[in-house]
Amino acid sequence: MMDEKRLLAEKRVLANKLPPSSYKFMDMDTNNPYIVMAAKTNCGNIYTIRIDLVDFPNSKPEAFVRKMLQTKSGVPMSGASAAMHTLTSKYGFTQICHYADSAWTTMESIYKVYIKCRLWLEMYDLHLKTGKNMDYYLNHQH
Amino acid sequence: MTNQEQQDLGEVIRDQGINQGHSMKDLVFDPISGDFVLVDKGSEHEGDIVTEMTEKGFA
Repeated sequence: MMDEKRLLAEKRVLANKLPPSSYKFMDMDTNNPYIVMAAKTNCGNIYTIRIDLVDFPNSKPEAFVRKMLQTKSGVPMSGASAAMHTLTSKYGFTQICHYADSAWTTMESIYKVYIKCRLWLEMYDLHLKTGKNMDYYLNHQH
Repeated sequence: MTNQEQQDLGEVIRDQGINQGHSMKDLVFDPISGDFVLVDKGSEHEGDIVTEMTEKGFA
């Protein structure tokens, strides 16, 4: 679990970057802490992101869109898919594959995870229009 | 944002992922507007340059 010093640092970054009403830390005194963050894409679509903070920053946090998204062809995005940059869903939510485990370091911040999720959503909006897979737009980490 | 602008953004992001370090544009996230914008490399802008995320890619 995140220590107080790190939590304060994360809160400071978020307060400096995002409107205070756009995110909320949840259940921080439990074994399953997480943060909920609003995300509005360039087209104006609004999503909510959940980032689980169980072992943050020691391991890559799981990040979800708080709904089960569907592909352009109507397939629920519930499974692990390299082409769509998703992992197996949880809570009934689509899980975003953001950082590879090998690319994760304790220096990564909640804000950076949020930006990656926000970018994923931007390309998801585009996928819905073009039908092209997410990995057409978003490169794979090596 | 028009459909064409959105598709142009996607194509630049794709190009940044394929040709790391060679794009003439930077991808910027403006936390005030909440939008991604493309700016000419080296130009003044509001927000955070996040080109590295498109270049390094996703899992």
